[in-house]
Amino acid sequence: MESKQVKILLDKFFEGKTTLREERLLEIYFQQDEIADAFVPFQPYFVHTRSVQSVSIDKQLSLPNKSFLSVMEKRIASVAAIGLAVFSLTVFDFNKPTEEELAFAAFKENMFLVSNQLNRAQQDITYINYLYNTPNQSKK
Amino acid sequence: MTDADFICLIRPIEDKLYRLSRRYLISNEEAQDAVQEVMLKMYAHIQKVKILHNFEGYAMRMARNYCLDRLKSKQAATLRLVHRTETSDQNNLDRKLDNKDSLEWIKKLTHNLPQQQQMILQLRDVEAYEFEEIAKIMDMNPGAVRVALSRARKTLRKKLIEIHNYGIQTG
Repeated sequence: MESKQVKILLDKFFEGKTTLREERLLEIYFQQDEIADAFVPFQPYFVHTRSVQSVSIDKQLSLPNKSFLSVMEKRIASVAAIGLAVFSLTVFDFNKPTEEELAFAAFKENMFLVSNQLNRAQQDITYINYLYNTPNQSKK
Repeated sequence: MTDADFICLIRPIEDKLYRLSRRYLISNEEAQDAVQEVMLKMYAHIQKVKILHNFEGYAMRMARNYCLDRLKSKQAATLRLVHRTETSDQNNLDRKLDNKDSLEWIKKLTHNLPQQQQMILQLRDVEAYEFEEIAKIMDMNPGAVRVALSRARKTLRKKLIEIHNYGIQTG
């Protein structure tokens, strides 16, 4: 950049009328080793600005712990999940038998009744036989 | 917003927040605490609003307000006046400056400016913000920012020429 241009830009700079791009050009110009004598007094300012730009925070920042509200929300969610599980177990009977099982149970019950009847009939026949034979024995 | 999303937003500007806070509070430790506080506030705020337009401008403004509150508070009376020595990135040019105290002079000169002018210089010349952005951060209108910036730079120009010509250390 020519000295004339630098002077124009510097004048604008001190009037606060430069754009960011123009200020960047000045900054680059003043980072050079060789600059016109007329601008030497201003060089420290631009060098200083550049050095300040390199200052950075040397502390590790930490994010906050989860807030009380979010902890409460988690607790509420846990309780709700447990409640839902209990409700599901109560309302939806997972042990409900299938149709086949019901049919088998009915068949089993019928067969039990038939078996009972047969057993009773067997007992009756035995008793009748006993009664039938008893008079014959007394006759003897 | 997840923590990772928030970190992506805050990381690029934490140094800017630090430099601004340090300009106000002087102490490095106070400035670090200020950045931490601002970050926590921003985190809490963004969890509520979900989306925040102009995150950076909002954070810078929050940092400024926090620092002003700190300065007003009683605790500010005990702030340690510790300046960080700027040893990093001292390039060749620094060493080649005829007067090695030049950078120290500049520091003193800028610290002698009114606080508002110091902040505007910082936001414009160091952080390269547009006038509109500075105006929002500083609660001013852009025209007033431009005027204050011009005054600050002219004061510096005058002092720099004095120092260069006569070696008069002002302030």
